[in-house]
Amino acid sequence: MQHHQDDLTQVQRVLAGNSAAFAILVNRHSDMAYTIAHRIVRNREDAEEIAQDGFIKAYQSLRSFKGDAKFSTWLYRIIYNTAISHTRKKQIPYEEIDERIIGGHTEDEILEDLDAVDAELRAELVGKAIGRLAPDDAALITLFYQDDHSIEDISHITGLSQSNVKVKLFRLRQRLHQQVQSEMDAALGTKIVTL
Amino acid sequence: MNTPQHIDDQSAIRRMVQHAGLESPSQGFAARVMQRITAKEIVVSKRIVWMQYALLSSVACVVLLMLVFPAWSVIEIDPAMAGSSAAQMAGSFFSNAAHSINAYTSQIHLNPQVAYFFPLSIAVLVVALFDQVISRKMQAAQ
Repeated sequence: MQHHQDDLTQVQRVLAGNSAAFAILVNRHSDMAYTIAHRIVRNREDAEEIAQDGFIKAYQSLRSFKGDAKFSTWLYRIIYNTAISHTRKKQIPYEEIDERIIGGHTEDEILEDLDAVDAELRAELVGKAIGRLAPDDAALITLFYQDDHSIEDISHITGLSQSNVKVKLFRLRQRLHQQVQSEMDAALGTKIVTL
Repeated sequence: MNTPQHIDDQSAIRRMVQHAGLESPSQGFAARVMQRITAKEIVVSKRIVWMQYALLSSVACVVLLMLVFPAWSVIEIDPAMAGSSAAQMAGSFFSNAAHSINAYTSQIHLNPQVAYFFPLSIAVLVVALFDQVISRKMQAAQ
């Protein structure tokens, strides 16, 4: 909430002619903007280019930001749309998940296993699992679970209806659960139980 | 959908996803964004200045052509004027304009010789206004 208020203050400063105030907004939101772009396009250079383009588009159309939504929501919508149109142009492949494969571990067991490995490997495993989801699904998971955006915000960012976001998140929980387990099994040298 | 209870546990999946952490762009990302913004602003300003110069030149050309060839004037179309000297044409243009203005200002009994300088004064004012706008834009761009 505090960031939201300060974002609005910085936006007003930029609109009043202090373009340097935009640097504060760039610094504050660059990690999340880059993460969204990277989870969608799966390439560091492209993600950085998209995040940069997104910030520049946001700067150029700042007058159209009315302040009824959070600045971050408005910005991430620009980043999301830029990244999605990039994937459509480049036809980025991703692995379809076979929903018949159900892991034999509970989520608590997976979390225990994750806690047992070192932080770097843990981040890598979960990152890889998210990376195996469809690009827009990976962004959805990131926005909801990593940046604590509400369903309403995500609906605004992605252009999906709120009920569609809820259904997608429900399915994604299962898929991500399978993917993390699959990554854990691969890392720890065990096999996936196929039913 | 037949889903195991543990998958519906929001906090567990949140904890799991947060293990991945946020990724950071390469160093100097914000500086590069601001550099691109500044570069774009200068390009836009230069384009505005050039557009203003082009507009001013066009207006000046039209005024000049209207002076030299009053037959083209939208104020007074007179093909018979085509063979006369430039000075005569200019004089005729200004006197026509002065007559028109005098007709409007006759109610306040303005001297026709003073009215003669109205079009010229307006032209000088327009040029001065353009010059002010352009020089301010140039200063802002620098």
